[in-house]
Amino acid sequence: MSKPSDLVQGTLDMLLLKIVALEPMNGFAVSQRLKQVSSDVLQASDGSLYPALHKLEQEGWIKAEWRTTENGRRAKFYSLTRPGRKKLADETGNWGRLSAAISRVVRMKEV
Amino acid sequence: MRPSQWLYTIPLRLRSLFRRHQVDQELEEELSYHIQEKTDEYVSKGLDPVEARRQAMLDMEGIDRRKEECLEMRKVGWIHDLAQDLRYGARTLRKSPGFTVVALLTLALGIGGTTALFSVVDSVLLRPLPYPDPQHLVRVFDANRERGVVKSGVSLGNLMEWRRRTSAFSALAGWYVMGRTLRADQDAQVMRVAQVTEDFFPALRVYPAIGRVFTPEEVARSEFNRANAPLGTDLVALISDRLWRSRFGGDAAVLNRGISLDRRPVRIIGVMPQGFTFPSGDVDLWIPWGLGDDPPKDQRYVEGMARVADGYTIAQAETALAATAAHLAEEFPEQDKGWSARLVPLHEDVTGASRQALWLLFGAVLCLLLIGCANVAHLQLIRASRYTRETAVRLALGASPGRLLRQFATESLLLCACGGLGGVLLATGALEWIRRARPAQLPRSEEVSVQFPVLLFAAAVIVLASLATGIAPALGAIRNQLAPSLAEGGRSGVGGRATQRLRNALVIAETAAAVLLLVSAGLLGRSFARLWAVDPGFSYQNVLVLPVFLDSSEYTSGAKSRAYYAQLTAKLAALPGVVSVGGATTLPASPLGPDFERPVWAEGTAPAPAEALRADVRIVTPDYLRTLGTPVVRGRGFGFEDTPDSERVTLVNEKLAAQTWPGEDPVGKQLVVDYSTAGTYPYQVVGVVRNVRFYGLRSEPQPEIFFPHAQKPYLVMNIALRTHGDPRPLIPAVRRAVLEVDPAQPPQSVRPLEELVGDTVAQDQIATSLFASFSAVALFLAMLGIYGVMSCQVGQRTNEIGIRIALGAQSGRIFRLVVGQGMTLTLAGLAVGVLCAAAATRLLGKLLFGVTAHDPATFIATAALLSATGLVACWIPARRAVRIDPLAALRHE
Repeated sequence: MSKPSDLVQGTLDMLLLKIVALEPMNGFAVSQRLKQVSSDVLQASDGSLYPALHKLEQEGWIKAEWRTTENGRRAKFYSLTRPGRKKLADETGNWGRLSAAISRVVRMKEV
Repeated sequence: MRPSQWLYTIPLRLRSLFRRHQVDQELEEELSYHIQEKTDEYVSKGLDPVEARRQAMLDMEGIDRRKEECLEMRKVGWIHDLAQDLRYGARTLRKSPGFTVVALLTLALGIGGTTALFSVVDSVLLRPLPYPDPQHLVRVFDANRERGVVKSGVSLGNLMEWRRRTSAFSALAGWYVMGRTLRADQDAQVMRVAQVTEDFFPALRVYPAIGRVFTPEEVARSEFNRANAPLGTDLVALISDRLWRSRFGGDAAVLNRGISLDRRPVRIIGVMPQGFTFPSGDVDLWIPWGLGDDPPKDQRYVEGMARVADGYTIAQAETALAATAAHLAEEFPEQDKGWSARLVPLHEDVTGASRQALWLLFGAVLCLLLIGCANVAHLQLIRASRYTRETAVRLALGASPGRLLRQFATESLLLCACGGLGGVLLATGALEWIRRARPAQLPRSEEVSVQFPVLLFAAAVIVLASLATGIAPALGAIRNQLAPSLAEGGRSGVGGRATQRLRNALVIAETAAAVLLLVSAGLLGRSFARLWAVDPGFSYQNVLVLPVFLDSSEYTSGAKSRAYYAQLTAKLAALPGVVSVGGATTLPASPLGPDFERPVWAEGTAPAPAEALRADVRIVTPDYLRTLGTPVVRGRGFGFEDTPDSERVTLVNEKLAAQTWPGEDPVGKQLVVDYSTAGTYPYQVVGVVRNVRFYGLRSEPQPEIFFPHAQKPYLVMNIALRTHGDPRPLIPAVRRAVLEVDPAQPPQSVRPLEELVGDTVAQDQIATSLFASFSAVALFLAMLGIYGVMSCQVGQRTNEIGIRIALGAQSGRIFRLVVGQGMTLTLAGLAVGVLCAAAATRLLGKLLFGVTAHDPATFIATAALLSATGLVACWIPARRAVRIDPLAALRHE
């Protein structure tokens, strides 16, 4: 299993933005969802998750509000902002080009 | 960052800044939530709750660390740090009030003094004159190389010709200032009035704030006769803002108001803007001056000024003017032969004399500031050394050296900022005082003010000072690496050889700077003393001087002038307390009066006009020489035998006699005086007068001739009165007496001669006293520095000294040990200081009088003084060392 610590910081940001884009959720839920969707391949360590989230909030790509969860606890829920949506689109586009290029190189047939 | 992002970012940052506590709590809550959910997850996986929680915490890898990181993301950490540092610094400073007060005072004085002086230098020397395009304004002078005349007034005739023939100037003007009696509403007062030619205001490009400037027609019809009394009627005048407010109540109805100047009706047509005082600070009225058809070319008393035309440099304009002057010299050889014209930029002319003195003073204040900073740095070092343990512990606990450094730097920045603020306030007050007091020795003093560049300078000084005083000690404190200081754990643990060396270096620097200032002060002081010891050739104590200028329209004949002055002299002599009264056209040190010279030669010789000796001419009354205390060394003075009908006589002074009749007795010989166009006349020499230093104590005596007033009844005389004691109480009585003789002729001023002579040396006096005060402060600070270092040294070596005493060392030896160390420092500083002084005192240059820049006596005296001071400074620490109780010392940590 490759840990997300191998991932470049920018990639983690993109993943977080995407997850939050689908529905507003708190930090714990985000890390759960990441694990779940990637079938445990991608995991963000607790240590790097929150600083990343706060940085995204500071840059203005996600915004936060406090809500009460089902089990009665208060948690901070993050959602995407409009500039964040644009940023996500840019990053996704870049990632697509990058991964396509890498695929092409990797699939080269041996002569 | 795009604007759309700002919308979210800014509120967040503000929140982080101002609601720090709340943000902190939220972070805590957010992370706690995460941990709780993680714990629940582990529990659901079958872990024991306690174990689950432990695992969850481990996963988080340290809540506080995370919080720090998150906060760091918010990018306002540095502001918080700064606020914290400031608060901490303020608290620390408050805890040691003695140090804080001393440091603040030192800084305030140093920074305030520097700012004030820089402000003066900026206003007077650096800032351009307050006229549009001032770099094109020049003063115009006549010069005659053959006769050795470097700078002379110009003549109206030449002015007119130059204006007509040269295209290098857009305006060429002249002026002349005289005292005239202003009468408005029964009040008569003598004011300084400038008569100005047509181009005067166009050259300056300054126009009245109220009313209008002269029309060419008004200028043309305002002519003056040879005595500069106005001819013509319907004269107009412009008044200064100051006069407008003081005499006319600032009333706008002053326009077209009628006043009289020297008994001529004059209409006020305008008021000049506030602060306009060209050509000098005491001028309050400007009247137009028409050149007439054929103004004389050879009476060179007019002050010239011009604005260089666009497209010409000053050098080019000067060349063009010189060419024109050469043409005129050919066309009118009698008046203009040998005369050429010179240009001097106006700024230079106005500020020239004080330039050197101001820069020197500025240098002195910088020295003082350096000393002040060194002292504060020193104090900081002492304090830092006390915190050595604390610093070591903090470093051991993981504080970053950078953070500690920042904290120290902030603390010293706080100190310096407060001190600097005090200094700027001090400076502002001092400058305001200068602006109001308007010392005569400082040109442009009315323009002195705190300007932006000065504030910038002050801020720069403050920052540099705080760096100098904060960083060095901070580095010293941090470089005290953990092991040595913790092991020493000294109460007065000074710690570190590097720190010790630094402190020694500081003290040496301080001492050297103090030496520099002391030597300068000593040299200036000696110069000043020498100056006052100079025999001026007359006795200036107990003498009052009052110029009286008679109105030529009333006193139309010589007889009337003689009668007036005879009456005035008699009346004044009759006043109680008056010893004698005399008059002369010009008095030594008195700036008012017709001062002129004529070529003279012994009868029988006939030198070429260019080589003839030029003698200053003075018209005097019989008792004048006695009143001034200038003795007649041969022959007789003037007396009642010299009447309008008797033989034409003259007195000469020693210098003229020596040059015209070397080795012979001049009494009885004939002296020929050349009045140029009016011809030459012989005079019988009846006596020789002692030389006088006429133009101030520094000046050399000039050849002089004297004529009796009875034979040349000038209208303009300075009356001198000698009194028995202090002349000042007699001033009101004297004024009254003058007005009794003719109420329309008030004296221009009544002042003690001692004051006038004092004015000529005032600049020296100011420089000397300032340097003296600076050096006194510097010496005191240096002494404090030495004391501080020795004190700490003794504290540090208490252990060692205790052992020595226990082993039997005599108190004398201990004493000598400490004093020896202290004196080594002092002497090192002295040596460095003397070297610097030897190099630098050359800069004092012209300010010195009768004393060389390397005057040995001064240097020796300074060395002695400084050594004595160093000795005194070491005394107390040395005594403390001697008194150390060996047992206590051995226990001393």
